[in-house]
Amino acid sequence: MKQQKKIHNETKGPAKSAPSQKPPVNYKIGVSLLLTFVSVLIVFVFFNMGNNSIWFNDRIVKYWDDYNDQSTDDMSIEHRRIYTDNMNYIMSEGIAKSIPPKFRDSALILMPSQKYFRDRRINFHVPLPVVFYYYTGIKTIWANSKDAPKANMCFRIDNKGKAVLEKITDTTRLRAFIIQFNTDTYQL
Amino acid sequence: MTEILTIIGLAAIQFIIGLGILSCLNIRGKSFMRIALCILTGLMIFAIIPYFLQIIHLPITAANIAILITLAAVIANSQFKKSWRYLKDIIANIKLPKLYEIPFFLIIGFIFLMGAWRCYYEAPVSRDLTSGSEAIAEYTVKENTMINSVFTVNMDENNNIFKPPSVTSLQVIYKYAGFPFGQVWLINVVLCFLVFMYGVLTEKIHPILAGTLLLFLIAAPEFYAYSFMVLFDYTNTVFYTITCYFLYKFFTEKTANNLIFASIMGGFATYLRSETPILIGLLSLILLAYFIRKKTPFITMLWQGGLFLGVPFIFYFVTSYYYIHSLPIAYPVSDQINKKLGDLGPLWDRFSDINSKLLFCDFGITLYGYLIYLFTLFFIADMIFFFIPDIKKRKAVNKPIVYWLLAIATVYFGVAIIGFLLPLADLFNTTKRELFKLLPLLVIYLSFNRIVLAISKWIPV
Repeated sequence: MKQQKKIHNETKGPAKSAPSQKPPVNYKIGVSLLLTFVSVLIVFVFFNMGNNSIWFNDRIVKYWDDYNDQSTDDMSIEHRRIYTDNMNYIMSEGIAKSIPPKFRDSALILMPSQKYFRDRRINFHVPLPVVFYYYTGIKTIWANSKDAPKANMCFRIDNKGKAVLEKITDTTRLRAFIIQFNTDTYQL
Repeated sequence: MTEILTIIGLAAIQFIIGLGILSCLNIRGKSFMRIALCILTGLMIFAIIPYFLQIIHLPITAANIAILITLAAVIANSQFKKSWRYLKDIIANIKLPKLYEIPFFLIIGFIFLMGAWRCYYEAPVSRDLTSGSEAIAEYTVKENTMINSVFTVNMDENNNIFKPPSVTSLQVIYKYAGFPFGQVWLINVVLCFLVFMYGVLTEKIHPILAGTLLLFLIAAPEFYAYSFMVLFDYTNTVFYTITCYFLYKFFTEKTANNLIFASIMGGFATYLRSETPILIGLLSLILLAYFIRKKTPFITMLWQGGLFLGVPFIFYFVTSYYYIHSLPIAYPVSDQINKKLGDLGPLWDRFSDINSKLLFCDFGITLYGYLIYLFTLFFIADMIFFFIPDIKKRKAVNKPIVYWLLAIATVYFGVAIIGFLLPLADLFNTTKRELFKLLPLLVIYLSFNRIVLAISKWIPV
């Protein structure tokens, strides 16, 4: 019982000294208004303090602007995914769509590294094979993997700057791509 | 609108499951805090269900999940009268906020809602998620098993598929519920955590100070970013904080129910991040010190200590060890552990890097805001004005303050130990996010700090 009483007391909030007399209503309202003013002041000062102010303006205010745009914009899943992942998702989807349906299950695409795309002024952060699979349901492989020789397709940019998805049957050609791609480093 | 109702509906089911568990353990606290704890507990029961179906080799379909959720709700509330009484007690003790709390609620609510919207609107982007839990969850929904075609993809340079299946399970449930990106469960976690923290703070200090401290917590930029970007760390932080809080309640109220609840929460935290048992192990040293000081009988010490350590370790073995070994791709866990444990140089390096490159530097402010500095300031002030004079006067030390400082120490040193034991836990990713666990503990400590308490007493209610 004593234990219960103790618990109950602890849940009641900050310790208060018991007033001998009940304070008048006006006093209570006055205190409440004063404390409300103090609360507003604290919030105001807090968000004008150095980094808090930068964070609030750069993040929260921006998020509010984003919200106003997004909530009135296209709410489809595809649009939202493109909005979030942008180039990586669009490129991955583009590559996947160029594969004929009958090859989709068996395709294993050899992907170049980021440096390869950067050198060609293409903003594409090559997704990990599992991420590419998550986006598209198509399997890819990086040239630095020991399983790279199992690839049966290769994604590359030709001399005219055009994206090409090439079906590979010639192992010598595949090996040449592996060597070319593997000289660049992949970035996680 | 339908989506909002679905989120609320799922939260209501989580509440019902949690209600049964909390009423069985007779967990006390402010009404809103108990509601938050019920939802969080129910959410983690949700997180167990798809993985449980996987273990018993049943297809992970929407129907099977729905049946198990219903079953969980019924079993949890099998003592219906107790649950009902507990619910009535919660409702009877709900208190409306005071006028001066509203400015804090408005701004914190606004910041929370901005995060909640992004959590709903945006697709999962974090590489750790899309190359792990999210990919597995996506194909679990398509193929009705967690051991799915994702594991046929090349996994070089990727260990994210080996992380515990907690987030995968939640993603699966919410995808089935009509959210293609899953992840809105994090909205429940964040809201309930803020409510819980406010409840904890107002137990000791004036609501104005509690609101201010909560502002420091929500405005920790990196911590906030993970409140809408799904990963393991935010939720792990939530459950680790609750574990510490209920361990503290066990010390103050000396009732086993709080220890049991702390153990369960520690288990949930482990289900989210498999390194958590290291921190729970450090927390158990505080428990051991308590047992020794109180001259607890050996048998009590054994079962209570065993419980506190045992539940998280059971979670570890079932959700990490067993899960990894059931996957079609081998993952030699022992290879991830530092082989040169005798060389303590890297431990010191990690510890000093944590301080100089993450906590006490300009970059630290962009990660965690001013909370670390606020804590340091009040900690030193408490030392000078209270702790040292108390020692000089041979007065007993303030036990709550000592406890919360030790809880902080478990993370402060524990994170460095994790970095030392697991070299893959790098400073600027894993350690940076592991340090999230420090923030709520610092805030709770501040609510016990004697300078803050003195200010609190000075403010009229």
